[in-house]
Amino acid sequence: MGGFIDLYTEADTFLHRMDPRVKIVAVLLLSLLAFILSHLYLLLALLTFIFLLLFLARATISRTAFALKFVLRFMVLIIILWPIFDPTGTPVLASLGPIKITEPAVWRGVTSAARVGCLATVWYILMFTTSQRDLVRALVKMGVRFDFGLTLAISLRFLPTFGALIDSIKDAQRARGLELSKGGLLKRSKNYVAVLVPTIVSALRTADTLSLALQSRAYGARADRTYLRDLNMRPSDYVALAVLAAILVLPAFAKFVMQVDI
Amino acid sequence: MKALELNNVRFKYRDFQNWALDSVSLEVEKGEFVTILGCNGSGKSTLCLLTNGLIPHAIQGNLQGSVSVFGNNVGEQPVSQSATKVGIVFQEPESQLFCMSVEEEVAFGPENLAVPREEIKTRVEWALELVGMKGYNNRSPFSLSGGQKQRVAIAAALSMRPEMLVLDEPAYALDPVGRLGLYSVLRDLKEKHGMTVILAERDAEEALAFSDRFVLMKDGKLLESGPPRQVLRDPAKLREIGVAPPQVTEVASLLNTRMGTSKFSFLTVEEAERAILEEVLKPKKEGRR
Amino acid sequence: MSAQGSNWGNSGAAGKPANYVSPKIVAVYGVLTALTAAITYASYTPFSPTKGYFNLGDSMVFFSALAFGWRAGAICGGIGSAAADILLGSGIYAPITLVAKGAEGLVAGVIGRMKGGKAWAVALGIGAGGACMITTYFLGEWLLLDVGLGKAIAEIPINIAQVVLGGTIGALLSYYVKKSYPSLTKT
Repeated sequence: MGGFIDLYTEADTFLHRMDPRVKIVAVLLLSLLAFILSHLYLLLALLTFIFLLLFLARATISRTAFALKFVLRFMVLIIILWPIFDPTGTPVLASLGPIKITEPAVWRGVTSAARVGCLATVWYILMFTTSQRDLVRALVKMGVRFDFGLTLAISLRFLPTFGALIDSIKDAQRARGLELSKGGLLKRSKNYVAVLVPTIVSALRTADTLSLALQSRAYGARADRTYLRDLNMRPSDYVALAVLAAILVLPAFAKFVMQVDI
Repeated sequence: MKALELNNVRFKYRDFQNWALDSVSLEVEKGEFVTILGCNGSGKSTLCLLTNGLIPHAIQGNLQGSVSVFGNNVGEQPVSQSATKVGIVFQEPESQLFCMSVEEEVAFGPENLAVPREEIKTRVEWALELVGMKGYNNRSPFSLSGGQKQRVAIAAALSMRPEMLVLDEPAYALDPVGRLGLYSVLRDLKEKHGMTVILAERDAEEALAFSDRFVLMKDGKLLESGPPRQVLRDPAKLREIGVAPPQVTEVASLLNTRMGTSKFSFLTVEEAERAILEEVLKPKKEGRR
Repeated sequence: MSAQGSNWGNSGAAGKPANYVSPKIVAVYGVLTALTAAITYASYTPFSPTKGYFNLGDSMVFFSALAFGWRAGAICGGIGSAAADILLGSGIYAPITLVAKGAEGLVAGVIGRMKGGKAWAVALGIGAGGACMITTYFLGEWLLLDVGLGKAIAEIPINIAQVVLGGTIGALLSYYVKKSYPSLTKT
């Protein structure tokens, strides 16, 4: 296990204050940029930029480590496996039977790892600085259907509820002698069924009441629904958007129009 | 115009054999606080679900008779429209709050009704203050105690400005402190705001002090309806339907039996104290002679 | 209180009613999505030596698809699994997961419920859905993320194990819940 049910950390940085829509666009644009860049040093520059933003968002060390833990493993694996499966290019650094390790392949592996690092960490700029309610509100403002946004909000709302439910059912079943953390994968999975059935039944009962509660609070009464909370783009948000656009457009122009190898 | 009018209502859930409600007629006046007492399966939850049209619109079954709320037949209008007249609070605190913050929870109803933003803000503050949850606007419902959750659920119903509030065993899952907070909100609703309230309960103790009327239900039938003092004169009736009578009325009925009278009838400890003191300090005329 | 008197919007009939999906669907899909994420999260077991990880999230994808149909399988399976990825720190996978598990749920729901959900249909649906998931991950990692053929292949055995175990458990869950609690699985 490990991880956080809600990644948002409260603080008052420019990233926290930024309109969530701009942050969503930022994540998409920076991800796109990671695909456009193919040069290792530029990707490392992008990775540095992402970490600078995480630092400016006052992400704590434990949170940053969390964002990195998974992807570091991932990156190491890419760097090791890439050259083994890619025998092209010269010079050959080492060879063992049919396997040839070449220098360009090693660099390609490192480059891919750097890109993966960018794609994995860029998410957390958004997730660490935006509350879940603002995230859903932003999606609805960006054109996602309200009923779909509500479904998403409900799932985020009940995630900790069901997490706690699973924990309490696990405890209850353990007290009856059920083994959940020992034994092979098969046995452990089989034992897990004793946790899943009561969890699902209880959760579906929740859904029953939930649907009655939704209707009792006039769900779907009017198409011209209003919202308590509004999102407003401030001048600084437009500036951020312009900067982001420039960061994407300039390299894209260089690569695809001017045919510069970047 | 009655707040609620049930006219010979029968209801049977789909796939069930027995009538959950059987020939129930009930009238509730505007501003009245009615407590429905009964145990599991007495039909009181079913009655609650009828008041805003969840039966028959959301829950299928066989419904006979008519239910009208402030003159409108709830069977003939969508639930979202009945919801503007009747606010409903369910038993389970966790599963009726579905938003990510208390503020959104309370705003959800008025938002659906297209109430202007400024007015929603006013209503949210008003409702949260009324239930004693002011300042909790940005808290997640998940992080609240059971009692706080139920009070938020009440606020979420009140923000739609209903004329009647229906609560189905709201205190069932609560600890004693949570109960206390909840009942003090209900008392305020009656005494300060004159709200029409229907409260389903399996315990007569707490609701006694501010109920205008007790309704006893068993096996889908309405057994008795009247002022608490009258209904509680015979605590055996409550025990018969599986509801624990308030302790103080047990004392009254015990005294009546022992002394061979029926003059004792008190609903609160204060009343009991006064009546018993009076009895003890009274000069015993026959003894002197 | 000043707000007491005003009665904005209390004439619900004034506006046109919204054209939303039914509240039952919103409630059930929201709950299934949360369950998928919560179970993925709670059963998450990292293991060596491949340093991959294993979870029972697929059992919820298959359960949603078999008990509630392909829409629930696709939406709840896709979004719930992607959310778990983000919360577990493997956000890089989230977009691929959304498509892979969404497709898994969709296909398992369509095929697994043919002929009223006979055993062979369920088995076929799980197999076909699982194949979609494994292929999507493989292609996504290899071509989209460009992580190299080796890393993409290394993932396949783990994914097969997830489909076999998750599929078995998901089918059992759906059979048991549909049989014992028929009213809960109606939408």
